[in-house]
Amino acid sequence: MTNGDATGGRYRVGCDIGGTFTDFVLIDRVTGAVVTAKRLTTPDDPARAMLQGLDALAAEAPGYQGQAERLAHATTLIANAVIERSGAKTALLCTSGFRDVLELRRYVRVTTYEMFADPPPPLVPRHLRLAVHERVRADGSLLRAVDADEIEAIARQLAAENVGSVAICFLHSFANPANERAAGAMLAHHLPGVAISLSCDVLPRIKEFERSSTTVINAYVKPLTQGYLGRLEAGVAALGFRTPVRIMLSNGGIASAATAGEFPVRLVESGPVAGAVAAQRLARLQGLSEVLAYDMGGTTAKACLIRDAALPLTDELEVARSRRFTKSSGFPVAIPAVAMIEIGAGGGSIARIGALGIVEVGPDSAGADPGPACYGQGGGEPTVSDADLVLGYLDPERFAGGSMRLDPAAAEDAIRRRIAIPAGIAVNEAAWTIHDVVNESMAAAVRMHVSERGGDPSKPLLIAFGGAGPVHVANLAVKLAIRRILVPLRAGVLSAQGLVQAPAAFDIARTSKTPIEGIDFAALAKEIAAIQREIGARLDDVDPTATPRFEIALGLGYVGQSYQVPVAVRAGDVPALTPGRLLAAFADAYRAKYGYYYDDVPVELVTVHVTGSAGGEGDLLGELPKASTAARAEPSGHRPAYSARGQAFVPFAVYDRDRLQPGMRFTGPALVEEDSATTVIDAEGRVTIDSYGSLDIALPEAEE
Amino acid sequence: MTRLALDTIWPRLVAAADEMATTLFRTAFSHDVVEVHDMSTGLYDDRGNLIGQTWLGATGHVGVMPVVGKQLVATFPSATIQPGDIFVSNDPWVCNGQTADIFIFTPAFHRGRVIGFSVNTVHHVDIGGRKGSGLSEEVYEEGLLIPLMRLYHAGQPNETLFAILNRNIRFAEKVMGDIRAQIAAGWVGAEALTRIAHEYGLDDLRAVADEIIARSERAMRAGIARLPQGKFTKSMPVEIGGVEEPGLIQLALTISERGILADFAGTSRQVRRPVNSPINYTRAYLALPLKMVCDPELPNNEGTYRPLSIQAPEGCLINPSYPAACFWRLASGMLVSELVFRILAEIAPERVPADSGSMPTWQFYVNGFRRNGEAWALHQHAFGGMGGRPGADGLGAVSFPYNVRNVSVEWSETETPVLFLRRELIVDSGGAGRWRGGLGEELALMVEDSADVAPGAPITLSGSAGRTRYPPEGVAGGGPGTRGWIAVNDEAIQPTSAPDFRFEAGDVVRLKTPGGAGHSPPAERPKAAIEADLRDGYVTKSAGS
Repeated sequence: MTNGDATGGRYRVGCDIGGTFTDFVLIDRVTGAVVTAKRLTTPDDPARAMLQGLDALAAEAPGYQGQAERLAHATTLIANAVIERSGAKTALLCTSGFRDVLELRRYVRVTTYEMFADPPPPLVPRHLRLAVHERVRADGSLLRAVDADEIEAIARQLAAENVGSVAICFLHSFANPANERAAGAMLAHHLPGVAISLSCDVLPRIKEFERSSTTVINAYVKPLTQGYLGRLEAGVAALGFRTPVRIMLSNGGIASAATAGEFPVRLVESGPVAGAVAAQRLARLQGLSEVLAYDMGGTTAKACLIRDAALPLTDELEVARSRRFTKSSGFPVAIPAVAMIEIGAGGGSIARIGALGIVEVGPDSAGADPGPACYGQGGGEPTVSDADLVLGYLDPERFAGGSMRLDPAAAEDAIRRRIAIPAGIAVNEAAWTIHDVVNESMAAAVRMHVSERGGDPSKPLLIAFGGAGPVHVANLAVKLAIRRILVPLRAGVLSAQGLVQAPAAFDIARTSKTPIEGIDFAALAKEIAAIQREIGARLDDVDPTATPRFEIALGLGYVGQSYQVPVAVRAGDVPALTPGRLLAAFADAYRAKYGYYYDDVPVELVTVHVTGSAGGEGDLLGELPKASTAARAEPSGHRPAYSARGQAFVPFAVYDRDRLQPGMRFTGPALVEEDSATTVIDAEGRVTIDSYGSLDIALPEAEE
Repeated sequence: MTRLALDTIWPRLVAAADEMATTLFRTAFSHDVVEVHDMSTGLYDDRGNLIGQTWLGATGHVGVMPVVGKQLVATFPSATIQPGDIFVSNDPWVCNGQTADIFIFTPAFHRGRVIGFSVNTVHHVDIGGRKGSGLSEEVYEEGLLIPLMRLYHAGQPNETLFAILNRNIRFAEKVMGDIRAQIAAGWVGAEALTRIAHEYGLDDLRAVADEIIARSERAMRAGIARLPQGKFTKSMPVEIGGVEEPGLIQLALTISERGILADFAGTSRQVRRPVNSPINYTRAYLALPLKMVCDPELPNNEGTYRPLSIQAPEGCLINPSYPAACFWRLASGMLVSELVFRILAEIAPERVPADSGSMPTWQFYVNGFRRNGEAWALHQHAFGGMGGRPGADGLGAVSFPYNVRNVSVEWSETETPVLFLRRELIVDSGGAGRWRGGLGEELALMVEDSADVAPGAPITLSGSAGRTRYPPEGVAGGGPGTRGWIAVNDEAIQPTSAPDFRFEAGDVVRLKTPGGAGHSPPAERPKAAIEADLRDGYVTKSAGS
């Protein structure tokens, strides 16, 4: 079985560059040994912490660099560049008469009642949005071709403006890219060295605003991404790596630096997605049909519903929201990406009494500096971490592997001043309210995420990770009426582990709007084959030895409907398809999703979505040796903590995660501590250490 | 620790309404729901008090919910309601002032009793009648009216009603698709109410509702208390197609410690045109700007509306009597918001924009037939510019105060024979000012001679418009925005708030929405802002000239 990017390598390395920490996971495929490391992120040059950390790993595995078969990383660089508006001076060529699509967005405001809450200004100002007299009709026929003289004049203008990158997005270019390609070729000729992004390459899909926005973001970050990757590759080579740098895309797949540099807009979710990939691998390994990956860190919490070990997809990402976590306040990125929800609810989220006299938490965060009150760095606002400390869940001596001593008195003081006294309640009650409210926000977001997918939020198994996830998961599970939780090994660095495990993957979704009776299946098969070749070449860049696997989904819907139902087909079967057979498959899929089906409404094909992946079939992490039957889980001590079930502080047994072995069992109230996380198990929660070292927690039935 | 259960129950109610909205988006059929978000969702307690509402949705749907709940419980005493009942109505005088907006109500049960209802509303693709004609004289021409009644009785569909609906509307399968989505969303909301009562061990939701409403009312009243007290009056004209004299909306707003009273005495009589705004809709657009100014950040509910009262003569433009035509009631109803803004601009000048070309929203259908006789219909909203705001320019062509989205030009062209030649900001349309008015937009469209349209069959554009005669007015020395303008082959049609005309393949139809007005003297505009405007081509001549 192929399992590597370049065969024969002994090591795989994953590096997740987050907002606060850069995490590392190194796997030795021969011995099965796993090394983890964490160091502070260097925001001025994220590559620095990465290179330093990779260098330091050699202390644990001397010479691993030359024997590494994969070096994959995830980065928030792209999203940050858009948020900070530090990208290239970018121009947009658009169809004459439609110069303001980028600015007018969908005409909707950010919130209903706030008159001054504006969306972010467009990345391309109006004077750099240039109209081209060209036009393609909805059916792909050419109404007006591009004029070479006009493009030449535009090129002169762009050169005078010193533009570093150009996006081209013409109406209906997904139906006929000829005008975009012609304009792109002419510009490339006139403006050598200027990056060009065509919408028919970046996102060949209907809806002009979303396509313009996505193409513009790609153009905006392209020069910067290519520069960053170039520097990183040189740095990695200097450390002795022979394998090139790989990058995680928003779809949860690994891509080459060349692909990432061409389509940097596909990296906007690079960071958050890696954790979901690790959870997905666990779900597949253990045959879990429906899991909810729940990742809570310092500033945000993320969740992702994974069914049948498949990551959910969305084409509704947004970046650089002017109102954090509010839909429609950012720039849409409509490429296929893993669907996750992210809310401003992390350990550093600040609690306050809001205008209505109820406790509110987040979305603003105390960050790393000054940080929560309990960090003792001068932060006076009570945060979620302060509440967790007061509730007894965190050990002040062991936070972040003991690198930082927490100050319970400062935490109590902040909660007393800001919450307890104004609300007229005890400090402990105030702390529980903070903990409870932040979990309620998360529960609300999860319910929404699951209902968007037509699911029941109480059904999935919860996989909790990230620095704060295991602290909050017990209460979150109660809110969602979920009865089973897994906390995997290395919960604090699970995202970096996902980078080691992920397959190479690339996907292309293309609008190809045709009534079902009008589909030319031979032509469709050819189109699919062409897309597969394109994807195959990109996968080859990552791992030429692995055989690509392809999945094809035809997005079908009723004519006049705004959304489509994906119908899976095999490439080889397409030429032999008939409208009748495809209609029957659509009817089945529609009925399965909605419970009914119309036989009197015409159906159309809207999207052809091809996903290719290669490698990553094997599981790098094996089962752990079982404890001898005599071995029992022994707590290292006890400390009082708040029991939600008992509504009182009770003694919790404290277990050291490093000493727990598969097969061991114990019952809450308990706290399981490891360097990067603490897991809270309330009374009557039954814990089994499973064969992969995960804490498998069964919760009692809820009481009325 | 149950004292502060409101900390989690309240957000949970809002989240449940959002979850209903999500269900609608996931399951509804039409662009009007999924793309445009011409919908809303909410939750009532068993007394019909609105206690939670989605943050999404069109402001009319949103604003009428409090009063609709009262009507619901008055019509169906809780003892008569069974599990599996679902209620429905689109009566403009019960619901949202327009027949196309269908409301669905689903009771929630707990411990054997009704503890509340979910409500959701959608603008439907069709409801029969003259399909949004600008010429309708009575509501009978505007489609089927569904009085408040059962759509389901104890789990059994009201087949009679479904049969009547099916036989009376165009695109029936789409409408049924959206009604199904509404039913699904209704269940999600009702189940959420039941689950909350169960989880928190409540007998009913009354105590929770009372607390939520009381706190929201306090917040709204605190905002009102920051306004100066007194009686303030303004009026504004509404141009009405086919009617000689423009209509007049007259508003006297009395602000006192008791709250705000809006009195519309002096407003013109209702007209035999579809621009009358039934009182529910009027109330929604009265409350909206007050909510924006007094309490913009808190969830909307019954408490928000308690400090507001309304008096309007029966049979007037903004309180018409059945059976007045009202399909395009936004043409006059949304101007109620503008009147309130005008008053606020005098008494709270630091908080409101100058006149906005986006009030009223333009909304139109283009209807025609293909060669095979099949009907096609294009539905779009178009938006004027927002007025200049103290501290910021007005946004160009924006859904303000309404909050709906467009349908993409590419979707529209794919599904109809219409070709758009332009959808772009209109240079120099924003009123001059220290803070410039937002630009209006121009839509130019045609049907090509070669397109799939039936020869000889009419192509009709009908809809709502506004400010085609009276431009948006500046505030504090700011200049006016440009007027709205509609033309066929550059020949302007008469100013109207409800255009309705035919055109032929090859003709070019142009719609120019009004620009927002400016705020404060143009002479005070910083040079850098003027230069940026010139560079970006929002303005072609120096401000103020």
